[in-house]
Amino acid sequence: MLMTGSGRVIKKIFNTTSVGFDHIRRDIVCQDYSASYLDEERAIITVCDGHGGSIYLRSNRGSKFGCEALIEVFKTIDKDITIELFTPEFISQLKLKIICYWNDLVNKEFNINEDFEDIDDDFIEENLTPEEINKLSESQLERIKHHKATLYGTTMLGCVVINDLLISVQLGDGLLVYIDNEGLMHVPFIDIDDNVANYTCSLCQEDAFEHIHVDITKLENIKSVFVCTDGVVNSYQAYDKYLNNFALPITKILVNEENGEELVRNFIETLGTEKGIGDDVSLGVMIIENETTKSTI
Amino acid sequence: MSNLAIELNNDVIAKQTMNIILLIDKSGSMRGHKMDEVNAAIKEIINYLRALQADNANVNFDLSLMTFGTQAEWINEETINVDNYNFDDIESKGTTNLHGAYRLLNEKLLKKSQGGMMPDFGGIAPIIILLTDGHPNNGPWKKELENLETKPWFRVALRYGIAIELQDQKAIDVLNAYTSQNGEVIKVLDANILKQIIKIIVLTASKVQSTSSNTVTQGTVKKVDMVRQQIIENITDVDDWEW
Repeated sequence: MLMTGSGRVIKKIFNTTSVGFDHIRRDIVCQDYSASYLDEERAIITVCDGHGGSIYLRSNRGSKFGCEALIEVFKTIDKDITIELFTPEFISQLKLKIICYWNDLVNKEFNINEDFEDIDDDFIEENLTPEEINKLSESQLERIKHHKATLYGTTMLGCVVINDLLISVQLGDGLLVYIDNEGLMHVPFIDIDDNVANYTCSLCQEDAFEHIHVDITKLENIKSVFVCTDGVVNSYQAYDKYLNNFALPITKILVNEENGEELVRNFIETLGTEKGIGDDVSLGVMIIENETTKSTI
Repeated sequence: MSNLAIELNNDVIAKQTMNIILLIDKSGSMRGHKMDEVNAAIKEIINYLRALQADNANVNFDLSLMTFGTQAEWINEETINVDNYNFDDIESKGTTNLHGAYRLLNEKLLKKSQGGMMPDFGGIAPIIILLTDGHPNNGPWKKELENLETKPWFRVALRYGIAIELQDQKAIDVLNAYTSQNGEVIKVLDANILKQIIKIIVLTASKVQSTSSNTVTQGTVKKVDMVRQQIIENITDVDDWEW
């Protein structure tokens, strides 16, 4: 169990993912991934959403790598970090580590000699399956030859609770929020507007560094933290609907119901397979309790 | 099941909404049969969208109309679902304040939580159709268009410029600047076919845009190119128009 320096405890932490009914109908593998991590020093939740476009053939693996990269990089943050140490240089380093870790995982999937700068003409045949090659146009194959990470394109959201701080990271669409003890919702990246309609930024972009957003806040009044892929949030379309019909009820359920986690997992599965917009859905959530301060939720 | 669990399972999952925005030139030169045809086209489009919506389990259609004469103004500042849209004929008068139209559009292509008309999350790229028959006023329309191009919702929007019985190349160039890489300029040689053209644009776009596969913003073939291609194919059968 994680107890922070000021007596806050992670009472609940879990993640869940469900394939969307549109993907079931089209026989497409789930492209979302979610993960969580807890030890005595830090608690992490993360969700990633692989892209559905025709070129992103391995985005289900890309999303898995995204969660893995975020967790592993968050683990490298010093347990005694304070808000004062969170300089622009620190943020840049964090972003770079995430991108490098993810790209390393992608590179390990390929049979190439990194010492050679020129891509071998046989790169496609040696690294893609015949089924994958058949699904791609000539221009797409050419693109992959020169930027293989495209196959793995994914969004990435996650946060870590460490030493009374909440450090949040977002690239691409989806939503990361925290609810305070009065039931008010805070959206660290509310001003990001480069992800609209079905267009999103991606870890596979060459300028991904520019599109990773980082936020740090003190844990003091936070009750619950949510990370969701867009398959969840797009079902609600507006912040107030998301708060009143999703985040607040889930917070209450997880605080008050013994079988709360099971109820929430069942709901997410229903949202994905029946009631949502058809897209894959992922949720990561943490409930935080202060041993001394009462919440009104 | 507990009350809280029931609360979580309520049916508030929203259908996706496609915003169709018409920017309508109502300057004096539109007076007569051109304005009549625009009014008739809008009424028919509303009925058509109602039928389309009734048949489509996944998408709602919201409509927003703006006119620009001497001034630009929204007929409805908030989007209205086509089922609830009551349309009154537009009367033509005045000059062609295109820069005012772009400025008003700029103010509204934001999230609803920011005072705009677009959803806070998700949504479908809107269709924005600009209908005009002439050259705009001397005004900063280029600057206002540049401002619009900084808006993500404008960048992803499918944009069509419809030149109504218009052969002035300078005016056509204004429409080309508006559509840029995200649509076409269609020269309607006879206003009678406006209804058909707009229907094809809306129907084709709604079919393609409502599919959910997402696309990286940089460096890939945009979904809007697929829509444009299909619209080109579908319009081919209609007479009395040109690209």
